[in-house]
Amino acid sequence: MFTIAKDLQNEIRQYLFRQLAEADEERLELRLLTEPAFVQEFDTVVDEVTDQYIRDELADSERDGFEKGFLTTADGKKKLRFASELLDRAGERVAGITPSVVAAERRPGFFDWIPVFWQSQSMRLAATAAAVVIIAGGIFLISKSFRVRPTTYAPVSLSISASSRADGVTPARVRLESGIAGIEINLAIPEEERGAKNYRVELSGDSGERDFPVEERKEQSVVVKIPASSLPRGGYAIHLFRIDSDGTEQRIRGSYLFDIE
Amino acid sequence: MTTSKEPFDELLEWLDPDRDKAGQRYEAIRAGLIRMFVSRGVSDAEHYTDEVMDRVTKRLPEIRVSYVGDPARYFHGVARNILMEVGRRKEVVTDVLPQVIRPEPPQSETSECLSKCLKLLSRDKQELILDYHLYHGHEKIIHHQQMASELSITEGALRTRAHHLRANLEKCVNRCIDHQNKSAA
Repeated sequence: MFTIAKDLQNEIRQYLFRQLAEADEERLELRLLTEPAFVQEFDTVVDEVTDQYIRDELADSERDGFEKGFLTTADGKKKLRFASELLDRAGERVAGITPSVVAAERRPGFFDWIPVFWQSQSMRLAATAAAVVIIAGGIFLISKSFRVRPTTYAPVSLSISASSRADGVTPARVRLESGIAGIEINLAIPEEERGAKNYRVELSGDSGERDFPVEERKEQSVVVKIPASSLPRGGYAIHLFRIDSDGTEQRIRGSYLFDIE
Repeated sequence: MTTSKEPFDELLEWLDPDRDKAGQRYEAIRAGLIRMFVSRGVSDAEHYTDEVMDRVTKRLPEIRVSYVGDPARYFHGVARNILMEVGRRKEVVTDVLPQVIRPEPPQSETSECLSKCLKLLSRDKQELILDYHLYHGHEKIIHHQQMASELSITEGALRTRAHHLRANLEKCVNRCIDHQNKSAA
C-alpha cells in the first residue's frame, strides 16, 4: 500500500517535471479528469514540490521542468508566493532562525554535550579525573596560542528580487547563533542569466561593498560563504555580476536581500 | 409540441442521466482540465478549460450517438488538441515579440493576507499548519512522525489533514488579495 502511494507520488512528480512518457502522461491526465481522490493527491504533491522548489531541494532537471511548466503560469506563481510566505511564517516559529537556516541547524558540538554528560554520576567522577589531564593539555594549547574557531556555516538560500526594500520586499531574516562561523548562501541565478563563464558576488552593507569568492558553482546557483565577522547586525544586499567569456562584466538586475538580527 | 434541450443540458445528460451525478462529473472534468493546463504551463487555464467545454458541447450532436466509451476521454482528447494549438501559437509569438514580464505583486500583500487568514483558524489548526512546515529533508520526516504520533493518527492522515488546511488557507489568502486589489482599484 505504502509502495503504491509512493509510486503514485513519483509519477505525479515526474508529470510536473515533464519527465513522463506521453502514454503515461495521458493516463495520468485522464485520472485527473475522473478521480477526485487522485486530484487531491495531485494537489498535495504540487504543494510538496513547490516547497522543495523554494528550499532548493530539487535536482536541476526537476527544477527546470517545473519552471518551464507549472511555474510559467500565473496560478503557479501565485502558489509559489503563498508557499514561500507560509514557509517563512513557519520558520519564524523556530526562535531566531529563518526557514532557510532551519535546515541547517547547527549539529550538537562539544559544548552542547556537557550538560547531558554531567547528569551521569559515574561520568562526573571520570570527568573530574580527566579534568587534570585536560587542564594540563589546555595549558599546553594556550601556550601554543591555539584558538578553537567555529567552523559551521549555516546554509541560507536566497532568490533575487527585482524590487527593493522601499517597495515593501521582506528580506530573509538571519540570526547568527553563537558557534556559527558564518552563513553559506546559495544564490539562485535567474534563468535568463545562467550559463555565464563566471560570476562575481558583492556584499553591500552599511560599511560599504565587499567581494566574496564563489565557493561552488552549480548550474542554477552559486554558493558563497560569508564569515560572521563580516556580518554585523543590519540590512544587506548581495549583487551578482555575470562575467562572460569575452571578459565583460554585467550586473544582474535585482538584489538578494537579507537582514542579520 | 417539441422541446429542444439547451446544449448544456444535453452535455450533462451525456455525462450521466442522473442530473446530480452529471453535475459532479462536469465539475470533476473541469477541475482536472484546469490542473492539466496549469501543469503544462498554460497561463490562462480557465479560459482554455471553457474552450474545451465549448468545443465538446458544439460537437455533441454529431458524436453523441456514435461515441463509445467514457466521455471524459473525449474531453481529454479535445484538451490535448488545444494544448498543441497553444504550443504552436507560443512558438510563433515568441519568434516575433519579446516576452512581456508582468510586475509581481508585492510580497507584503501575501504576507498581510496570510496573517489575517491564519487568525481565522483555531489555535490548534494554526499550530498544525505552521508546525507541519517547519523543517525539510530528513528532519521533516522525523518531525512528521512525531506529530502523527502525538495526534495518534497515521502519517498519511496527517499529510491529508495538513493539505486540507493548507488548501483552505491558500484560498483564503487568494480571496483576501483579490479583495485588496479590488479595493485599491
